[in-house]
Amino acid sequence: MHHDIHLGITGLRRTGKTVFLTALIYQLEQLGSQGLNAFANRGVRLETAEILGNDGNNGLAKLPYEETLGRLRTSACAAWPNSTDSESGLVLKIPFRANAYRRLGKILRMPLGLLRDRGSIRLFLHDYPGEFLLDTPLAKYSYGSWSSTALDRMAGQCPDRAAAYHKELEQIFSTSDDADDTRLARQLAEVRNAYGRYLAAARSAGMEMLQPGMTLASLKEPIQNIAAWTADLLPFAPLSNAVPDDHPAKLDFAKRFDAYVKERVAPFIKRLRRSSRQIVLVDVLRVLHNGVQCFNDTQQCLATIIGAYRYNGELRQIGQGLPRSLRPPSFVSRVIFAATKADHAVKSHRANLGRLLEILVQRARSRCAAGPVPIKYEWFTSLRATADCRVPWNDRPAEALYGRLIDDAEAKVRNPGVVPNEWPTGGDDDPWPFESERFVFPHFAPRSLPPRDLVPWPHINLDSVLWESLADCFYVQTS
Amino acid sequence: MSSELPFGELDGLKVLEDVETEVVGSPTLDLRPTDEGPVLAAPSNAATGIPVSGSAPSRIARGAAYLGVGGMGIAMTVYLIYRSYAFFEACSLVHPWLGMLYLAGLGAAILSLGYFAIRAAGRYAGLNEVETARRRSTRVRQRLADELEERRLQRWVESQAHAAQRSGPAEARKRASRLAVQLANHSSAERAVREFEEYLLAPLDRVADQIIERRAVQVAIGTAVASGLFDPIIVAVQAVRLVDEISQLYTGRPGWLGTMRLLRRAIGITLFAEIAEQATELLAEMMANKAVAKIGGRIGQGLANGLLVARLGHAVKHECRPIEQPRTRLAAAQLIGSVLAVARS
Repeated sequence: MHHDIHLGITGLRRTGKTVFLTALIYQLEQLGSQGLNAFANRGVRLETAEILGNDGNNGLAKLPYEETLGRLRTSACAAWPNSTDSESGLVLKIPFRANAYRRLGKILRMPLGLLRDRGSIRLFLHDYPGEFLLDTPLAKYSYGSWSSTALDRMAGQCPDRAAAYHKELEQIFSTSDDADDTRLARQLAEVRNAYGRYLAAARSAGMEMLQPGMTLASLKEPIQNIAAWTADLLPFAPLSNAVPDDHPAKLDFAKRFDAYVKERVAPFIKRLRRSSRQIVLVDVLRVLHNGVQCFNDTQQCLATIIGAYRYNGELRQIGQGLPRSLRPPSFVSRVIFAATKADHAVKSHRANLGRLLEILVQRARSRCAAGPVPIKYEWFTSLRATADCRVPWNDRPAEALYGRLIDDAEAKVRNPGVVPNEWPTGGDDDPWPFESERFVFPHFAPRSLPPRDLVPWPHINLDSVLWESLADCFYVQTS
Repeated sequence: MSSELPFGELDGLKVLEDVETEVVGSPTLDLRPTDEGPVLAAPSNAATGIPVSGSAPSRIARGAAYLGVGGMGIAMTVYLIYRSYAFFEACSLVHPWLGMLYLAGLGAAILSLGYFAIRAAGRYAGLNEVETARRRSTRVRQRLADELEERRLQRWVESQAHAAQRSGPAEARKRASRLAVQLANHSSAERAVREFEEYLLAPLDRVADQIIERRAVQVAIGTAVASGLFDPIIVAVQAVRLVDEISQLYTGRPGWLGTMRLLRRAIGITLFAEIAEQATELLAEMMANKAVAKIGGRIGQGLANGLLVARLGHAVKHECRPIEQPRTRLAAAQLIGSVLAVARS
């Protein structure tokens, strides 16, 4: 049986999407299912995959797989890939063999084309900046409703900065002696700069729900370094109801908003909605590190980005045996929420990542649980950057991690921080400030990988994540 | 020195051991045997097996179980003696030597059955009890276990993986190695239980289902084809072998109450075989077309006996498994599978 799987890797920025894709491609292309215990355990064997280029993958640019591979294989100091600033993709063809059916089962399934004991999978991979996802709700709004929503959100994220933004807007739109054209240009520039300052402050405070995400993702320098925000960098900004609807500035922003949604957001959503499996990557450690505001913000972000997809398992499954032209449209039929960077926590705390994740994605989960969609939770790391070790402390061994930080030249032993089994409340009895000492979680650099091919890469539970997303492609003997 | 390890870089602290975990190959995992000792390792560890802690069955419950099983056993024995004597008398009427021949055959069958039963009982008694592991794993799954229980269960799972890596068929050793790799990455008892089930128990479950299917089919065919006199013997022998095989497969057995439950079931199905035979003969006498009635009756008997043996098998599997499975849905699905297997036979 042949499957076409569009794998949607969803996640905010710096959650590890590109590394996950690189590790996945390397594993499947070089090794197949060798080293993937979840597959071997169930009697499923994936042969080495063939990279088919990008035909039929929404016209995307080719994923810079070799470039990322090269960075990870640098003998001196391996480095994580740069932040993704554009969409790209790749298609893999993966032959597989699974358990053999019993004779009666085979006879019944063969005429219907439902044999799953052998076949191939065409895996369509799609990489994009995490910020792109944050713009998907814009398609449901007009400029006015978006402005109200954005201003409410700003008040929740960084109240002080939001208040400062409101004050600046009042000053900008107070009467002036400039001529109309000059005044409009000045007002637009000042509003953009004011909003840009808010965005920089919010990003520094660990907030992620910042729009317009697509333009922020394509910035060439850190957001905090941008002094002047032009129309290219920031096409529109939210304006309060105090500015009349027929004000030229509002009309200008509304026009740019509509063009932005039509030309950038809508086509992206169309490409997103081809996904039939979804893996949502969440950096739980970052949320712990950044405090209670970041928790609230991330919850909202995840619920927002989940809303961009369509969920229904049944139709797609029934239509698998049909010719491609007759198959029903794609819906996401399996969702896996996965906490990344599990190797940045000590061994005894890793399972807590899963517990924290389940709570964090509750709102997002309810958005995709409307249909019969199996939802799984996992914690994993695509590429181990640390090793577990123990050090003596108070006459007992204590767990620690051995690894190299991003800015360091050599690896050292560290205690990265605590991953609790419940989220702190942030109240007086359980304070949870931004960058709390308890939740340090330094950024480890990758270990330099051997330049030779066919060497397995160290990971944690990458096989489990991949299995959960592809499980229904194979026949697994249960009795 | 403060009680908590300071965060950040740990200058001056020497690494005790570096547990490097890679994707392929066995990790250097700390797999010292647990306090309780391994369960799946070897049946001869009965003396140092897992102590049954926690709530033990009350003396009244235990007494009632013994009474019930004993009573059923006595009733069955008396009935079988009566039937055997009746048949002996009938044979002796034909020819005295025939009666003696029947007695000799019956004696040999009983001796043989007795030998296998005693041997199986000995092997069964030598297995470790699984009650503690089952209780702990259920509490861990329900998130009711405390830290000590979780740690003990985790270490028990690790010891199983370690023991399974050293003995058994090659495929089982490979699975145990893979499980060890998974266990090296975390200290979660809940996840360890899940992985233990996926990696080590799932294949055993499949083998157990095949054993149950095979025995059920043998009973179905045997009791349908053979003379009704031998039905209880066929069922009893297969029941004993079923319990023996499945308990050896999981290298574990339930506690005394669980054992009594199984014994009660085994005696029950043996009795049923005899009663069904009597009922079939009676019904056949009442039918107009006696031959067809007898054939239909034999087939029905075979099917019923096969199903009951399959039920016993699933009950044994449920009791001997070191991790409790959610029973209802699974057992129903397995029973349907067994029905189909018996019907196909």
